[in-house]
Amino acid sequence: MIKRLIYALAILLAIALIIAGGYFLRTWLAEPEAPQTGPSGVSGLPLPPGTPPAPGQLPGTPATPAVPQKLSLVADVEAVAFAIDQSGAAILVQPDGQIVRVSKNQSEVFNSSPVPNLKSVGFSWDAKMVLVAFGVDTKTQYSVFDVAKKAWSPLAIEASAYAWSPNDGRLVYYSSQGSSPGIYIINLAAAKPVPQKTLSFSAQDITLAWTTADKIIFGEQPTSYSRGSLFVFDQKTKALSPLAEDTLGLVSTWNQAVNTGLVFRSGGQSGGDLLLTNGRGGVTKELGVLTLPSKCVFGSEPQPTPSSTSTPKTATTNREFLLCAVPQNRQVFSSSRLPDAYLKREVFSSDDVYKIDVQSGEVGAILVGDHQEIDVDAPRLVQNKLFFLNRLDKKVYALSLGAD
Amino acid sequence: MVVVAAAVANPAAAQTGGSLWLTWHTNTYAPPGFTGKALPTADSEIAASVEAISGGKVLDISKEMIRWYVDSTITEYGVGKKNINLRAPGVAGTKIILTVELPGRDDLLPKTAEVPVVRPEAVVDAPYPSGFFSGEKIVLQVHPFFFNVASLADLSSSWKINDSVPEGSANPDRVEINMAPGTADGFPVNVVVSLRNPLNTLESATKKTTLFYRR
Repeated sequence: MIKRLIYALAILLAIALIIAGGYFLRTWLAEPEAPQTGPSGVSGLPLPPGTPPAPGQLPGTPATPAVPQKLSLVADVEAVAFAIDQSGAAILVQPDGQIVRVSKNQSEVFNSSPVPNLKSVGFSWDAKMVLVAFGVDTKTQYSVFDVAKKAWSPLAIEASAYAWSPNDGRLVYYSSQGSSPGIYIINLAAAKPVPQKTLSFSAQDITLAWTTADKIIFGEQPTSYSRGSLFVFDQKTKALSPLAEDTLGLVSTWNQAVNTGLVFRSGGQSGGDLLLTNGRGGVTKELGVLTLPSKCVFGSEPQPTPSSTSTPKTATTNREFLLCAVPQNRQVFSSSRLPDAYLKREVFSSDDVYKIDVQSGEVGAILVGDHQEIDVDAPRLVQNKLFFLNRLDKKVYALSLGAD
Repeated sequence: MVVVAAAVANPAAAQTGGSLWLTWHTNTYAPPGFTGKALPTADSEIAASVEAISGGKVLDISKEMIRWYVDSTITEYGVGKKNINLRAPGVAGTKIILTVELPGRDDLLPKTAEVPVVRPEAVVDAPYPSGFFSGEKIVLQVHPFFFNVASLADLSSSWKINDSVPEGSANPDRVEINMAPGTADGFPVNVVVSLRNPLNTLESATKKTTLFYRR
């Protein structure tokens, strides 16, 4: 009798052990739940690889495994502006106006004479010409440096804003001087450049951008205290269209075709929203990240798509993406008066870098977690590298986006 | 005469999609490289412009009557009066409600802009996102914003580092902070900088910030 009882208990114990073991194995081997929030509290962003999941992350933002990244210093000198030429060399303008070319850790000073009271710098599309604005008080003078000839030429224009053409030596500028204010274009690659008026209007605090040959974008300098608008002028059709109207703290960046824009809209006293918009002023997506468009750059990459026929051939389309530097601590931006505080250098960020698919909104990690502190400004995407000015040390860095 | 600007939406304007574009500018000081908008402070000069945009074109409004209002009071008007100049009130911390209308054009709604009147600011350029710095020496720079001056040289500055006045610098907008060997990790450095317009005693700004030393 006792033997039977012990036997029955042993069977029951074995069954209990099998059930408990199965439950343990099932729990242990199961896929972890999708992480919901980044370790820094940056909602909408994936976690860096190896980071334990945390509750509360927004759905729909699967983490893309980060490939090995390489962040490198391009030149150990301070710069106010830079460009990458067609050979891959960096052309830097230092705070004193000296122009330096850096290639494979070799630097060459192009212009050793300082430019007094440097105000702004703009590079032509191929980095072969550098426009500098300088002068005391409101008396701004302009000069163009020819990189090949290593020579300066004064430029007699009255401009309150300017932008280089994306594909040739033309410069667009806004002039409010004289009786004929408006947008002018001057071809600085011509033997005798003559300004041509393109659009007549009178406005204050203008900004200009020229992303594609025919389209010039203009608007107002941004502040969270006042609403601004943004327009695109098509030089071929002579049509003027609004891209954004009456928006607080309006800052934006646009793709080449000017049909997709990344627009920041200030929250007034603090923070704001980051929106993807179309070329007609419509919002297509609200992004769950908080950064400024000046910390982002558009790019595109070929993506094979299955053809409609039954053959195994594939067609290739270009898939558009954004590379965005996003503050690790969202609180820094969400509690600041943007964009004013950032543009005044009152607020600094320590950024991670993410890739955002423009069509799907999917966010992938590029450079996250424990890396050198960077506060990304003026990003440029050249040959699978993200070049940028680090606002923390005012030096130019490069981030390799693929395996070298 | 007090005239209140029309503020009711105009259905005709809504149908045609035409609109006025009102922009403004002030000539208060902002450092070179600042790409934001300079804001007026007390007594600043402000310039404003208007254009009409409709049907993909900038309309010719040079023959239209244009009326300008400040805080609902008509201030200027005239045929083709596309640009005006005005002066901010003598008290900062307020705002100007600037409105422009074309009474002869039913297809264009009046446009209003809020122009803030802010106090001048001193911004300490301390590029340390976490508030911690390391190294034996750092240099901090102060950026003045929105003073009624033409250049940095028109302002006077004074610094205090942990309640002590640092030795004179060649650049009064910068201060050099040297850390003594053996300074404890986490040691606080309290920075106070004041900027003043010697020609206008009411124009001044002070900024206090604290940084922490990391060994």
